[in-house]
Amino acid sequence: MTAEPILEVRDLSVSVPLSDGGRANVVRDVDFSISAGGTVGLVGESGSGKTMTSLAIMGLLPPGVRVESGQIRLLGEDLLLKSPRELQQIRGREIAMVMQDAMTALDPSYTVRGQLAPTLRQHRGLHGQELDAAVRTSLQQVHLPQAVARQYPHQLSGGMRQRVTGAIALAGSPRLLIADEPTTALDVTTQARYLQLLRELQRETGVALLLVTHDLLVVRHICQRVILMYSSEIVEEGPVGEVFEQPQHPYTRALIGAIPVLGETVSLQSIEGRAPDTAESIPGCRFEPRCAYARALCAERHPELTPRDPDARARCFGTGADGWIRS
Amino acid sequence: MIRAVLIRTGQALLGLFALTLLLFLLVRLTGDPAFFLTGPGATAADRARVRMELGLDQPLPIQYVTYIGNILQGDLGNSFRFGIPVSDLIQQRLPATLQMAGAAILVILLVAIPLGIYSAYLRGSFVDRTARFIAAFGQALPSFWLGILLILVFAVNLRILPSGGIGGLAHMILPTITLAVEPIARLTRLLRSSVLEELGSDYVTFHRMKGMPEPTVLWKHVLRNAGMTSLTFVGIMAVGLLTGSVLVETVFVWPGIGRLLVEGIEFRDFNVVQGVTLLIASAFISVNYLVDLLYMVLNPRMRVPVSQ
Amino acid sequence: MVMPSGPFGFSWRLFRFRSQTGFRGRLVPTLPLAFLALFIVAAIAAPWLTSYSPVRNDLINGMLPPAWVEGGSADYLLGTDRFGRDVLTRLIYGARVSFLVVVFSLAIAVVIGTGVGIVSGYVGGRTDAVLMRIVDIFLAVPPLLVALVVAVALGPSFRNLVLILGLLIWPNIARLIRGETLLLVRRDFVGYPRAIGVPTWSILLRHIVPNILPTLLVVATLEVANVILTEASLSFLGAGIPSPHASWGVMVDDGRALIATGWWIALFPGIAIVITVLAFNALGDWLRDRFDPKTRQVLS
Repeated sequence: MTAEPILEVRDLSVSVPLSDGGRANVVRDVDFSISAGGTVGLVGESGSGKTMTSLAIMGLLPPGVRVESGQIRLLGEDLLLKSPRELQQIRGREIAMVMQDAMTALDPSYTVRGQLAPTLRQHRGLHGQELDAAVRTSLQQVHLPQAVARQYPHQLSGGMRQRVTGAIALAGSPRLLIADEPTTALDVTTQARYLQLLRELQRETGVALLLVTHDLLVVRHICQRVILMYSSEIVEEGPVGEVFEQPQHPYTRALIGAIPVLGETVSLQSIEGRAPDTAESIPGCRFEPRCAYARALCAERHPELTPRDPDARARCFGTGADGWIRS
Repeated sequence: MIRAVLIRTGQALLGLFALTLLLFLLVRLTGDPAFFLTGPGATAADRARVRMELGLDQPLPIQYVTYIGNILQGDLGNSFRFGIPVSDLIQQRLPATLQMAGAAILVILLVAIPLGIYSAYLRGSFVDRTARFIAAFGQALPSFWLGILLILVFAVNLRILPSGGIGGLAHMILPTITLAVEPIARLTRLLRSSVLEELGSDYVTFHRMKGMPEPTVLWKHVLRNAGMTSLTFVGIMAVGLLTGSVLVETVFVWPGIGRLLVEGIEFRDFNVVQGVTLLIASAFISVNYLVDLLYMVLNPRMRVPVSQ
Repeated sequence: MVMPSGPFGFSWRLFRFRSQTGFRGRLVPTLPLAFLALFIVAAIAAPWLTSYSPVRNDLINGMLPPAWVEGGSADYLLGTDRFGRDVLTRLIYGARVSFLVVVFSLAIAVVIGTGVGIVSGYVGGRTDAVLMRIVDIFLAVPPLLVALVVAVALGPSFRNLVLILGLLIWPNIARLIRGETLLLVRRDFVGYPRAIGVPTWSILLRHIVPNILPTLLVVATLEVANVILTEASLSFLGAGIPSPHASWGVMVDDGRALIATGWWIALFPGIAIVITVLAFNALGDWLRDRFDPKTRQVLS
């Protein structure tokens, strides 16, 4: 891919306050980029740091949560160096986000139009008839009937609400759309339709997509690249096809192994144990206690992200240059 | 929604009913009503006459109906002390109370709203901690004591404000402040927690995500939703000022209905006591009812039923 | 999930005072508790703390200012009132009055409120609806006003005051206890015994009551402030504790007319009221914060 990256995240670390007054990193040295029009999936279990990463990119970290270090470059400019006012102007226009629960994301006191129109007005400077037309187009784009415009959030189904938040997010024609667990609250059929919609929108608008989710299958469905996070770190990254064929990290392997396959009767493999508390700093590999391939080395030294061919990275001694894990 | 409105209306009417019943029974069952209703200077003959006039020998239910009938016609009996109908007395004194209550409401809103909102927005800051401390303090202050203290400082020692009575603007300052302190404390606290709750919701994050400027998020959206929860309180508070006025008017010798009530108690002018209590208590019930209705109307969730 | 051992297992955690981050830090609950202790000591040990009588007149020593003001005397630390009664003594006895009023009226309110609340929440259905209507009616009337009128009709006395206050406060308690009960009733540790046929009184006693205690404690503590302020207001107006007894409200009333010449008479009882109310409110808030995460932990 030769396209200029839309987003470059370098060495990002995010910390949260602890009850005893100290701080702990929930995101450690995260480093990745997204190219224009690309689709990247950010996968991890709850607590892995993926949501914090996406919030950090938007500049919407909750009170108390801070970026400790790193750079977040959007179209070349470091967002972390920007003033709140500048950030506010970038949000919606260059980057937008769709959140997990559309019900709580939408303001209960306003109709759909009441939330869509102001955004269109603000980012595209439209008024009057042009504004009305834009509202119509917006709704059409997400395949919602025009009648929805006059309704309140509580009158809509879950799938429709998700589309509304999508329409609002795209109102400013952003270059990057972050979707945080957009399908978790939906049933399987609605999920499939929603993902299809996302793909369509990407084709139409050329927007880059960062899909944050815990569901590997969703990622396989529409993403080009996938990044896996575990306990605040990136453990593997690469093109979707390759990562699924030849996972370079035991965690990824285990996750893929845990996916039930239609037609096969196989006992479900779950991963023993639990992820370590992100506050804990561990000298060795953070996945070591649960890893089927772990050796003494893994508990003593912390593996770094090393390149895997041709276009991937992984954080594991076992699959690296002198590794002992065979596919 | 019609159903909800009807239920609420029924409740309000029931409350009014219970109120009148309570007052009625209070007089009839705690001793000789004629004694209450003729005042301390009456003779046995007076009382016998009253007994007959008021039909106190009739069975209780009939007495109650007559009683209600009188009230609905605006007849609250006569004051012994002044010899004129209680309703006239109330008409004379009510404006003074409304004047002070109105001024107090203004002060309360002007102080509590910004304080509550910024307290929440700047959570943990000096402004917030100070506001919370003041609010806690304000709720612990007995209003009658505060009034006396203010009189001591401003009227007795500094001599820049009058110690009581009605007059110009200067006479209104101390009583209004005294009346306003406790509601300000409560409203600030309520607004603060409502706003905090709103600020933590997903839709605020979503608004920010859209690139909405902070002032708009705060004043247009957060306030609107937080305001709805505070609306009920504002209604209660407004009427609560009427009961607060009982104490404040006593301290500042303000000629309103609060003081009328207290005087009525002092001089055992029972019709006055009953009349004013009925007035204030029914105002209470009515305002609560209206506020609830308003809330039902404004809340879109109630206005348009959830269709699925 | 760890169930507490025995129904009161969780309440012992109260006694581990962990410091809180933030402004209040160690101040709460130590300071309010210290004051509460002082309050109770004053209330119970009043006759031993002061040799003066709170009600007997001593006109020769009337209107003496506090000891540190010119004209004052060390014999009467906070001065005397118009009748020569020592202000400090009356303050202490006033604490006793407030204490007794609080204890008795809360006792009434808690018994009625908890009873109604639990029954309403546990039984549900029409009983619940009816009881809650009654509660709503009680809550719809202004408490001070009703207390005033009733007190006047029945005559001011300790007994009447306590009854009135108790009757005015129970609805709020009932509402909150009902809420808690409703949450508990949905839990399996109530559902299973009910289904098996364990007698109701047993379920109530072993499962419901211990679990509503935290909320009850918080509500009761916060209502103390209400009781004290209402009693003071009523006494101030002459419809509460009758003169010449020493209630803080009565003292403020006494001092009111003499504010220009005897500022100490009204000042000190007011300060006492404010500090007491603040202490109880702070305590109640702290209890609420302590219990909230804990009860969620226990019940989740």
